[in-house]
Amino acid sequence: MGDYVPTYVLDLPQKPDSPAAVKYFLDELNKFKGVMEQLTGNKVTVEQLKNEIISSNETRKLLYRLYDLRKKDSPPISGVDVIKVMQKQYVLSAEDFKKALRNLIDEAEQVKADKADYKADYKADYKADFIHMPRIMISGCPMPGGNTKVPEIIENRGGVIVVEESCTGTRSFWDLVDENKDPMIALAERYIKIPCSCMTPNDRRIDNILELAGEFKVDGVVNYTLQFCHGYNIERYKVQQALKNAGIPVLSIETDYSDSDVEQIGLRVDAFMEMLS
Amino acid sequence: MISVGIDSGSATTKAVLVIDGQMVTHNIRPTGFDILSAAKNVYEDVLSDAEIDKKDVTGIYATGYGRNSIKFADRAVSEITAHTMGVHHLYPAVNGIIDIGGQDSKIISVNDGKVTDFLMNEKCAAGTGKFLEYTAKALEVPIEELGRLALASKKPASITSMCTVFAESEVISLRARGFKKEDIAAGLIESIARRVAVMVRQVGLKQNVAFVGGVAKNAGIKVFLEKELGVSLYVPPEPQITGALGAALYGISKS
Ligand SMILES: Nc1ncnc2c1ncn2[C@@H]1O[C@H](COP(=O)(O)OP(=O)(O)O)[C@@H](O)[C@H]1O
Ligand SMILES: [Mg+2]
Repeated sequence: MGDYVPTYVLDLPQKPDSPAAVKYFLDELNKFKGVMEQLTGNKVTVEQLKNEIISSNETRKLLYRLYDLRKKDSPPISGVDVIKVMQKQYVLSAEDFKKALRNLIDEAEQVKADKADYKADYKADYKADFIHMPRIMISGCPMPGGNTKVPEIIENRGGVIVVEESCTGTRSFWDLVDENKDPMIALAERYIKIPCSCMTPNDRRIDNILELAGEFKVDGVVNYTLQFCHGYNIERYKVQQALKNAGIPVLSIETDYSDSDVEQIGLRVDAFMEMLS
Repeated sequence: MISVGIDSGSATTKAVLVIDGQMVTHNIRPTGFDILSAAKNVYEDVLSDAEIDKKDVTGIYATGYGRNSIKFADRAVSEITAHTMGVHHLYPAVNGIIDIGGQDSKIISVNDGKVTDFLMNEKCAAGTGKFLEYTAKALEVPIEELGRLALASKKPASITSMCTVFAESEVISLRARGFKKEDIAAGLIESIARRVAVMVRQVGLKQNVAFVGGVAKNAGIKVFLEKELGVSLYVPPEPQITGALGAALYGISKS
């Protein structure tokens, strides 16, 4: 990859709870800072970093507000739409994204419970049988730009996605960066806590899933993994066990970016929705 | 109340006619390329069999892989729910279902007639009826005979390929090495039973397990699966039609 673009590999300590981990990670971030300074010719100052942290925290707080709206009995915005919004944060400037987000939240707050218009979109009319539209959490691999295959299948077949536990979902904004600390230390502490499946032990993720399931009144969880993303594939077992013990049904889907398995996934999602409703 | 359930499967299309909650007759045909006409044919067959006029039918309910193509049906329901309702009707104590059809296998956990968990293998033909059809062909025995042949074996050959395509070439090489037909058949069936057993354990089925789908007609699979799982399996008299039966019953429950 280094042949095509300037590349720096950030080494992540994979045991985030060991005492030396934050120190090591901070050291890595400082090295990375130096690389960036050299590459761009700009000096990274404490003040600038603090400003960026404050700005990113604002984005996080807005996303909190957006996700809060989804806790309603009848969420004013579909999961597919939220996922598309989340994907935009990686292409828009922070200011543009925040502006769009504020507008969206204002609009979503106006939606009356009975007018939640995603309900009108259901294609299969037999879904009218559902007394209650199952509230779904998607948990697992990130869904980068353009990838909405599984969420669309879920929402076209009667489910409402109310929360995504992934690096493109809650994990991107769930914790703020401490604005009062030395910014490099604050960044290291915030990012090393992300419960990615490459971390071990990763009980933090299981606890978080159970917490989110309660907060968002989830009826069922779709455990989403991409082929060859081995960390999440292995952790699937633990996630399933924890949810089973908590009495929350799980459907595990392993897929890729192609559309060849849409019908097959649909088959299972149909059955899962019937099981939940 | 007259209700018809149609299960449009990848291999066969099944219809069951239910009058006042009781199964009256059924019909099975190959699905073929034209999903809709296979469905029409089984539908008309059960009607003429029971001497019932179309206009007296309360509802038609579709399930199976082609369910959304059956435009003349009133409603559609997934196979998981349909098989569960069908098997529960025949065997109210059921806690688990194994359905092996033409191109997929499903494992369903059931509590009090309700689905609580399920697992499906639909990505490849390994461990399904198609696998058995290919290997029966390679062994030059009718599919109906494959199970009995396997049960005659005293020493099943060990088959290492799970892939349908490779298993076929493995059969050819075993034959070349002088293995007996029944030992090869038993080896193939044992390999499927093992594969399905892994899924059954994942879902955690333990007791009161029913085995349905066309492959449940294969006596060999049933025996090997029972051995692998250490439980005896309940197989209905006609295991291929529980999906269609369940669809008919589902329709009644919704109207
Ligand atoms: N009489 C029989 N003896 C043994 N196997 C059979 C018999 N009839 C059907 N099968 C098996 O059942 C499979 C089809 O099962 P079925 O449940 O009808 O599939 P689907 O629901 O996918 O259409 C065939 O591939 C074949 O292996
Ligand atoms: Mg079937």
